[in-house]
Amino acid sequence: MAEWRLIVDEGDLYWCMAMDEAMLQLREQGKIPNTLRLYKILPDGVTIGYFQRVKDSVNLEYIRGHGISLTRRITGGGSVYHDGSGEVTYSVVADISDVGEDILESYRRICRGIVYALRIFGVRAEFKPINDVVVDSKKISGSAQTRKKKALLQHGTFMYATDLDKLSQCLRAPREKLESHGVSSIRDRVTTLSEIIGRRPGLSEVLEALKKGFSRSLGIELKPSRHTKEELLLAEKLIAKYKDEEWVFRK
Amino acid sequence: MRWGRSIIRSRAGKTLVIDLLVDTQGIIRKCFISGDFFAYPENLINDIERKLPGCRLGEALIMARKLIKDSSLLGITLEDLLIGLRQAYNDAVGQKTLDKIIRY
Repeated sequence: MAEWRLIVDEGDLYWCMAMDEAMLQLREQGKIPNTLRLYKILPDGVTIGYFQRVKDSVNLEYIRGHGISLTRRITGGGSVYHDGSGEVTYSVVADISDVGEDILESYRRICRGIVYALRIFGVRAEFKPINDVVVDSKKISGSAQTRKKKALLQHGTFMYATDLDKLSQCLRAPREKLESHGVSSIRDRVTTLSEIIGRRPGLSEVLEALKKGFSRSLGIELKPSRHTKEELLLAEKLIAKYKDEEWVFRK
Repeated sequence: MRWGRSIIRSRAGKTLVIDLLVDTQGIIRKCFISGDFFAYPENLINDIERKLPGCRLGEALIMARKLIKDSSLLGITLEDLLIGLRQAYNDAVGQKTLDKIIRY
């Protein structure tokens, strides 16, 4: 069974996004092994997809008024609220050939890790293409993937106890989107593990489930590890980009 | 000069928003293609945004089609993009888009 690196860490929004990008670049250059990273974003933050316009996808006034960080991801997809005390973000950085050349299939394979993790809690979840995991058609996890020539980065959320009222305050979806989902607000479209099982799972319980889930979906063995010096240096350099208004407000 | 906007909800459930600034001569001056879709490689969308200014609608559609050729869109289709461009352009110049399905 292939051995991957497991890194569990936490940091502010800018550093966390910078680290994901650093890992992708270094994996592309063959300088780090395939890695599963599980992290908390503290304090709370909001990310928007690479192609999104800020004013269409988030409630900027609310975010600014509540000390919530905001940045743009290098991955496509929609806006995300990262609740430091109720959400774990995962990232998979790996060779494309180890996960799957076909983009949609690779989404499915990685997202199945979330489905398996939820199964450990007795929750029946399903992958909803392109990039969601849902329970009773409510979203509990969303993912986004970008690719270089050889390597891919897929990161996504695992909402175990996200404050959903805050989430729906932060995020904005076009009316067209909600109508086609047949519901009236973002709040009605999302759920959390704690809402489903009726108790708040501990963070270590969540991390263990995610490790098992991804090990199973990717057919790998995880070896606890730490970031290399090069990763830390590169991430440090990339922070400036994620804080740059030119980048965040590009659209 | 006027801004025009189109919002397309794709079959895959993603949203595509196109904003075009069109001058009184019917020439595109600015272009934003946004939404929660995916494109591989991503910078392809930037290329389209950069190359459409200076074009009229017909040229813009040909250009977009050409640029998309070597890439993968996920969540939206080339058709969505072309329809969106046409609708946003027509919105800017104050015309209704009658033909919703455009075939090439």
